[in-house]
Amino acid sequence: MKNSGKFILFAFLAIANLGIISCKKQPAATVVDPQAEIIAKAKADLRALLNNTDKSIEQKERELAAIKALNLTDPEVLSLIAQVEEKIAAQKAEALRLEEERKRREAELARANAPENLLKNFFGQISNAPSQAAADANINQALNMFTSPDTPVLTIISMAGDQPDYDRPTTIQKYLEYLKDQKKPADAIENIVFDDNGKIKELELTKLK
Amino acid sequence: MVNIKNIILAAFITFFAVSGLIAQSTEPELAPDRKAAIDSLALEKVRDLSKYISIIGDKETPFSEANRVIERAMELFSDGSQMGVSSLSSNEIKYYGIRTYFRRLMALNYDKVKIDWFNIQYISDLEKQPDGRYVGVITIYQRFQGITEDGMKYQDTTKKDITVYVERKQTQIGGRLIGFWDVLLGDIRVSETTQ
Repeated sequence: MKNSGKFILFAFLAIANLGIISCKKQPAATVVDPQAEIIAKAKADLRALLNNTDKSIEQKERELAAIKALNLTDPEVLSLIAQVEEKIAAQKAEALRLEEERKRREAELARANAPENLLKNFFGQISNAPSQAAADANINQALNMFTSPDTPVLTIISMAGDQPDYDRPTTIQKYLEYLKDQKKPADAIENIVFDDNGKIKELELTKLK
Repeated sequence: MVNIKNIILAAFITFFAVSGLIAQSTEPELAPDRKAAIDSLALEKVRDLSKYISIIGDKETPFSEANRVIERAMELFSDGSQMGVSSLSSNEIKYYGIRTYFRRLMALNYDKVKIDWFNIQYISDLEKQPDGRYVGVITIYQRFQGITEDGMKYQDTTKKDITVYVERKQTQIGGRLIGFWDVLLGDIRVSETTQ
């Protein structure tokens, strides 16, 4: 019984001693370095900017400018800033390329839809129509561009000084049928005169081009 | 007094008539490039006629289309023009009014008809006439091929001479005066027929 009492005492002391040892190993207080925190946050933000695909270029530029304004000299931060700058520059170049591509496509579309080009297309489709029905369908569509089937068509054959010499004037209906019958390329378009409704009221062609 | 008035009037009319003729005859010759342009235009009209004739003669051409093309082809000719028609079976050359010729061409008793014009060229250049018109002659060779339903084939080649008239005219379009060259085809005469 005496032995067991000693054992309990010994165990108690041992546990108490362990407690003292573990208390000694804890630091007295946690020291926070604000600059290190700023650097860590800057690094995290810069990495986020590098990986982000949702933010606009302007937003990224604003966030980068805010980080640069901290004037941090940490080498890793500076390296990350350079990487983000490079990435933004690449994104800007790509955006510019896409914008130019869009403008080019819009201009192409506008050109294709310009009356002169629409008319050229009709001329080609009528001359090269695989059948009479196909030619007639194109003639009917082309006629919609004109004030009437009797819209005058003039064809320049030569110039006398600044005065054009014309072939006998014809009408658009006859000219389109002429292309259908003769199956030859149309004369070049020299001038188109529109009425107030945007319909063609006079067409001038030329054999000189 | 009446006589004096008549004399003055006659002198007045004579003066303007003569001065008009002088003005016409002294009108400057066309610059070579303008002359070349009307030469080329006349040749083009003949080629256009060639295509119209092949469409009208083609048995595949629907009736309404052939009639429409006849109207277009008629616009190429001056009024009263005639077309010569020959055959290997006869020495006779018959002349028909252009519209009659087209109608006969449409109604030819063949199952298939093929007409081609080739070697289209001037044999007499466009020359200015005293009345201000230019007149020339273009020659063409026409190869005609007709096949009957039972497979019989007739073919010949005809040399034809086409008189061409080119006249300077004016018209109003869009409120302005337009000067143009009116090319009109005249008689088409057969000069030779071979197999």
